[in-house]
Amino acid sequence: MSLLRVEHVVYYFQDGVKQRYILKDISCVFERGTFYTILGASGSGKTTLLSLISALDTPTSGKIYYEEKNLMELGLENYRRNHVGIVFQQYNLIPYMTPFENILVAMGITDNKLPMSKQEVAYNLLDYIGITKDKAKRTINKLSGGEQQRVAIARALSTNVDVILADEPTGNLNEEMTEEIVEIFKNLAHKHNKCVIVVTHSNTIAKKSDIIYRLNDGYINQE
Amino acid sequence: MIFLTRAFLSVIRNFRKSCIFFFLVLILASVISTTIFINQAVTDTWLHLQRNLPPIATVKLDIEAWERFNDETGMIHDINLRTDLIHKIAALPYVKEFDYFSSGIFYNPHLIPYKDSAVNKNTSLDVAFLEKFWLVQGVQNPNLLDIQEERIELVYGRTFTVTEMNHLSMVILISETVAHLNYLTIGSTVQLRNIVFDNMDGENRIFAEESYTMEVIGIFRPVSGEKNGENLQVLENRIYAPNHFVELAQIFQNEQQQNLNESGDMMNIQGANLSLENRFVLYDSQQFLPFKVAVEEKIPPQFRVVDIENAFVDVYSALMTMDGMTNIILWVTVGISILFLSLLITLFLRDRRREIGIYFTLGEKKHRITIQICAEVIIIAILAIITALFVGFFISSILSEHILRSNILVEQSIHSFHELPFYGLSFHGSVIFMFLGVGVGTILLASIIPVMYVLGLNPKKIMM
Repeated sequence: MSLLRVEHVVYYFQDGVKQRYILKDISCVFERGTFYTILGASGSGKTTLLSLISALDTPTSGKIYYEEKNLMELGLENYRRNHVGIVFQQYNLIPYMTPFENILVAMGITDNKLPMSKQEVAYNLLDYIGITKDKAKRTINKLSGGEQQRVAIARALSTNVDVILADEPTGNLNEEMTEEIVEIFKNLAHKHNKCVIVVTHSNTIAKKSDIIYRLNDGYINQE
Repeated sequence: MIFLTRAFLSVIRNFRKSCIFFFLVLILASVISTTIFINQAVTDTWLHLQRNLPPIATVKLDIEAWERFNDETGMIHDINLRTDLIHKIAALPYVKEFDYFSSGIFYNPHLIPYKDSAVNKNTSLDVAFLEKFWLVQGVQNPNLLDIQEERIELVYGRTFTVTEMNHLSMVILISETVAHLNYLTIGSTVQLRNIVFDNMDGENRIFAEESYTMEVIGIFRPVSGEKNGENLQVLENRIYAPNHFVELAQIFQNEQQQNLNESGDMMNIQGANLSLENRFVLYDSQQFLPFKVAVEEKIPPQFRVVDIENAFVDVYSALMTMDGMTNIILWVTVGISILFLSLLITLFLRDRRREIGIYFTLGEKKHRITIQICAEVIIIAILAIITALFVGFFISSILSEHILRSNILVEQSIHSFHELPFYGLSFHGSVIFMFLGVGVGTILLASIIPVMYVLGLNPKKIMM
């Protein structure tokens, strides 16, 4: 049983009288313990596919299954709350809160059970991704881009979900930071049995992933 | 972190925006609280007036009707309601108590009156001559309506007894000032002379005279509200006596006037009974209308029945003007508040689109996001509203006095009932409850559009 299955997904939007197809017929599967990259040029529909997998949008046709349950039946909000964590290129952290509080916000929303108290989980995660306790108490805008992205990853992990989705997570980071972030993703997949799906246009990152899906002209191919 | 903690953190950490919102709510809520305080005070005042007004009616001379009646009949009709008519009216089933006041002028050149320098400075009359005459106010009710209406208070002695009222008794009440000026105490006697003057040759010659030795049984003092100018002078120099005494003195006056007229002298000083006022206390103010109908069948056409509320009609209209003004201001302010606050909250939320997008992405339930936003608004608004309660109370106390003072109608009426004694702003529960209700209601209404804006946000468009 696959963790996540995309089946004949089509996505288009209406542009006047014309229908502009972004995704024409997408089918793919994602398993636990694997680091996936979805590669493609700008405008190939990478982010659209990610928004569908993360249930921020719904396909025009086709279905997406999580543990063989259709996302529509599972409930998009419920799926986002309990089964998937998302990391964005722009980090998307709440700016007036500290890293610690940003993580607590996510943990306050999920229904998932946590192995320890919320405070302990938050500090452990921040420690795991290399944010010290001192930095954990600063407001977000006092952290560097790399540190903010680490906090975003910690937040995605904090809800104890199986699927981690990342949209160009290293787009705003330098090479060294990129290396570190990719290493974190690999560890999450291989050591913590997570399904990590990273959308990127970078071949360097793609080469470090276990499976590469390439999006081209609205279709997907596994390399 | 639960959504209410998020709301609290947002209020604290977005301090600048919280302050802007706080001050806007404070200003608008202060206007609302001011109007509510004034409104409530107006309502309370009128209710208090109504509650405290006894169901009293009087039969008064209608000058215009009197003149018309005189012209129609070619006769000069009475300006006073006859006492037998007063007794007939008093016998009506609606009347609980009644009183009437006949008054007479008596001569005593030795008694020193109270003089108000400001009043006497402006008069061209022969003050020295007039000072020798004393107004004796006859009363029928032993308890004195002036005491019941708090125009005067008894400081020494007693009022009249029923026996003194029904029989000819030579007893009087005088003011404390006059008692002091003339070294009079309870039990002292005062001579009052009932004189008919004959001034045929230009001199005031005594035509007939009766002298009465009156015993002082009570000493009164005008209440503080009456302590102004002419009103005070009249009250201080007033002597109260039973109607029976004043009426008998009037009979003597009338008889002697007739004798004087028969002797061919038409020029004389008119004596007692200058006016005759009456008061009828009804069992219930609701009975005024049937009482009026019943009385109008008995009285000559130059008289009309009025209820005591007519005396407050100017005040009522002024209070209603204030009530109307504050009502308009209240609802206009509520409307403006909803509009402005909706706009401001929506603008602030636009700045927080990404944050709201994060909540959506994390799978937060929409109703929790709605409650968080409302909680943020309510936390600040409650602080502003509570502050506005005190600000509004302060402003309303200044404003209401200014409005009352600037209203000419009320200026005239205020003197008639002691500087509007019942008008008062109060912090009682119903005002606070009403203000909080209107305030919080306005805030919640103002949150509808921002909440709809938030619920309409598309997380994909915000986040990706």
